[in-house]
Amino acid sequence: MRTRAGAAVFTVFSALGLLAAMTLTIERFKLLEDASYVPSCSLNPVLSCGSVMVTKQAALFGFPNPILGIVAFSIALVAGVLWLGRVELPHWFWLGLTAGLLLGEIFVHWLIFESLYEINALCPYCMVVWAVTMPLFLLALSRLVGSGPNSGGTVGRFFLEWRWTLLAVWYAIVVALIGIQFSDYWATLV
Amino acid sequence: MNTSKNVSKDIKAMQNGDKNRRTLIQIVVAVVLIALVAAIALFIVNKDSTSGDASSAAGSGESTGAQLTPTSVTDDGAIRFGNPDATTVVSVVEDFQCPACKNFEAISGSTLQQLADAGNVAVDYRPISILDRFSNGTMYSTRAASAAICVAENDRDNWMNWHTAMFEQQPAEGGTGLTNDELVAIAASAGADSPAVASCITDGSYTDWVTTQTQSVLGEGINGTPNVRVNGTDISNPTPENILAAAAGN
Repeated sequence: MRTRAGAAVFTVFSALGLLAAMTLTIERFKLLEDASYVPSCSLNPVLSCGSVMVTKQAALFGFPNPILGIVAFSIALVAGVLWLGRVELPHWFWLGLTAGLLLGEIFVHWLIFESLYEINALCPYCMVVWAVTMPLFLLALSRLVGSGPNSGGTVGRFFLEWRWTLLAVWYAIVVALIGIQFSDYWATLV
Repeated sequence: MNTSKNVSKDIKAMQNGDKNRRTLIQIVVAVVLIALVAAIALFIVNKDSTSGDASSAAGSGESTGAQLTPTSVTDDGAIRFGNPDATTVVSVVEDFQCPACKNFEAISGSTLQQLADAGNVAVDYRPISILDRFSNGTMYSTRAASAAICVAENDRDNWMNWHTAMFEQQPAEGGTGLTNDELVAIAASAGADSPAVASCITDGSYTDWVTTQTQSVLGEGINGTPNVRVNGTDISNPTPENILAAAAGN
């Protein structure tokens, strides 16, 4: 029962991540075709994709980051669907997927830092990616620990038990950092 | 048979109770930690806003004088040039900290000046402050916009010169802006060298007005700067040609 719910959440979040990455890529194309194009997610000076998408951080490896997202979230989505369909995947597959999601998670934290403290703007679709990558990583890690030969030992059990608490606190910290960094702008909206 | 069924039921109930209790503990711990994070965040925000005010006052030798309401602006808070009664109104919303506004001024500033000089169009400048967070607590956007009103109120004829000079000397984003003394020096170099302008800039006489004005401009659905409109219609790509074409069309 629990794993079914996990599989469903994993599939839905992968799909959301894929959708966000695709939208960002398409908006980038539109911006290239017409420099004055205003992306659908440029809502105000703080919530603005246009200004974030053109920064050098938005193309860390020389091409727009969301292209990586399209590939990675597609793989995650397929894994989620197979998991949901009770297809047993080898232990090493989950190991690889978890490792990939860990890299993604590191990348996301770097992007959060840059967005808040260097670019000084938030891009809503990018924030969807931030929000889904963490639970995807936690779910893949749980699946890996749960299916492991010794079920993960004490650390593994502790992690499995407290993962959603950890996730909730992580969300709270990111929201708090955003609230602090842009507090003078939020104040003008009140 | 019956007893063993009941026993297994009891064990199951106990396990469920145990599980529910653990879930409850996790939820309580999460709520406590989230509340802690929120409390720390609120504490930092409040500390920041008070220390930010203090440092800008100290850093610029500000003696936060009496707050004034401008009398020379239009009903919607614009500094108007050209023909005040013209039916065609070109309005520009700008933030003095905004690099895109600097580019816009470099490319289209002289065109707006020509339109104003030609005398059949009104050119409205509406300075706002949405980028205060880029000047490390010195509130450069607000102080610069207040200075714009100071010059407009006391020395209108030199406003355009002053405006050009302000964008030419725009401080970098993420720095500490320009000090009030530097703003006074820019005004003086543009010809607005009266003591009234200097004390108005030093006192930040229109900073409260700028804050209110910024909120009302954002309330009009203007989300970014520069925003250029001709009779209320956005010009999405405000090149000199597009501005002239839109102004001629009205």
